[in-house]
Amino acid sequence: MVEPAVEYAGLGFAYGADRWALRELSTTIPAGQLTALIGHTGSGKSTLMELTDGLLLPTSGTVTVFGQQITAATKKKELAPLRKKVGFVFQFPEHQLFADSVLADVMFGPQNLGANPTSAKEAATAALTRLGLPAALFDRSPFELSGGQQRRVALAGVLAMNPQLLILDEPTAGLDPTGQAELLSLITELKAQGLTIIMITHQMEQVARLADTVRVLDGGQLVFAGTPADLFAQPDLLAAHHLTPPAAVTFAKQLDWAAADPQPLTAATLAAQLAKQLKGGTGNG
Amino acid sequence: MISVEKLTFTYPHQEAALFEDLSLTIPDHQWVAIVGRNGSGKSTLARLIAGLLPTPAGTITVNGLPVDEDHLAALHQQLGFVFQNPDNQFVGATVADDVAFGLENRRVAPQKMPTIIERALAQVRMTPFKAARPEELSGGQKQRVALAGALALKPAVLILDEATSMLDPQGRGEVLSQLASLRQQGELTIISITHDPAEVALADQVIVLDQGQVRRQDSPERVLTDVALVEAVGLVQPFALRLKAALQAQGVAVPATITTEGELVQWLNQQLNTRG
Repeated sequence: MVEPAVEYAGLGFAYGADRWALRELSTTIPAGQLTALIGHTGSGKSTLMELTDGLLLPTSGTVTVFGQQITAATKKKELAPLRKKVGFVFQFPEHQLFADSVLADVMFGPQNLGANPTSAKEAATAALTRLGLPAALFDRSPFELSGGQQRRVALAGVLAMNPQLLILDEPTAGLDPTGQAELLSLITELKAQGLTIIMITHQMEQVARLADTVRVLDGGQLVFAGTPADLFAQPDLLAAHHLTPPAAVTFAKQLDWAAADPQPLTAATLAAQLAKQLKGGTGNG
Repeated sequence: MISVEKLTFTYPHQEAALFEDLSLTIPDHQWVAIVGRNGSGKSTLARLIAGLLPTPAGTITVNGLPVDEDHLAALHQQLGFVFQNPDNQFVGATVADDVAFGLENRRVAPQKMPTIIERALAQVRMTPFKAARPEELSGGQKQRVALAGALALKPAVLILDEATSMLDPQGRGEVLSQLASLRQQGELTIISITHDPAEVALADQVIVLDQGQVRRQDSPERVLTDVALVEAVGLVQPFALRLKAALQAQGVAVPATITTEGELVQWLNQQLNTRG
């Protein structure tokens, strides 16, 4: 079993007296993997991420992030080390760019955590390079860059703080297909470098292609924890929570063949299985 | 009909012209998808058609109305516009208020408003959220409210600037099928600026913009099956065409004439059934 980066145990959160956003949630986020977090508005996924980042404290139960346990009784100042471990990239993070230059914007995070200008600059340069932004852009205003580049600058601002866990909220929203593909391959590289990633997404194609494991929330409760293949093999569960399976799954259902195992989730794996079946027999020109 | 004739346009702070002598025609009651890379000029073209930028005189007409300052008010009676980012266009305190905002601007009689609002929200399946505040809605839900706001004004031309790009697959599917049925029953001309192959496939025609020029104006089928064109303009192919290419790469000889999901399913089932 993979060591958990985050462990939620009997976790509950209520706004006010009895508006429960999360109830009795117990699951783990495996270290070094990409976990897809799925749920509609009001499912509790944002609340869960805010609890993971120490922006909220539990009403009941515990959150344990890299060994640090957080409960209703945790003091605000004890949350500072947690914030260093968790990097939260909000939706449309480029809306929060503000500085005169790309470099200054990315340096802001490490400086805010107490780094001196020299080490903040080193961290910022390293993060920008990691995200494939050429040095020629460092002194430019972030507002002169393309949408895809701005998004990467915003992501660099979080990476420069050297988090162990990265939370991405709909990271490809609003990008064109080229920008989306670039960002997704960067996310895959970050995982390969050892980061634990939680990605909030509505895009089941991304879940099928990138996620090692999936958690589905609905109405403040955990309704699924398992692999993408397990999730997409359960049409009733998907329908009950208004989730659309990836195109490969929907397509494969229309074919007269025995259900393949493992179930193909992408065009490439579906084509490989079909080719095997078609070429395995006779009568196929 | 929307007619663009010899349009030349340069942004004030830039040297190079974005459009030079651009001409094209968008017929009535059709759904036209405009595709192209970021920076190809597709959003600018939509804004010029809508008079949201200083449109050069004598270059664009919408249903016979010249797009210029003198005709802006009349023009805006004809046009509905839905933008990409739902957070920038939600102005009401609640969903119903937001739809009412456009009607108030148009001086619709207050007693007529509830019926119009009900109908518009039903069209985008947001009736249960009538009293919801924007912070209670997802991006996709806000976008459906924006669409309801545009539809409530009964436009002749609806311009969607990447309006479905932020919706989840289910929300996007709902909005697209509603747009398709609206176009079929009504008098609506739809211009959709998009990267989504499913949205392109629903259109009657596709205009491919590349560096300020019309590179192709053709049927969705012919545009989407042209792999070189699709890649050059930063689109992706629909799933069935990607699967077809992957099958061909695996040595399965899928005939070139097969271009839709239905055709591919039928062909594959024939092959699977004759194999045994």
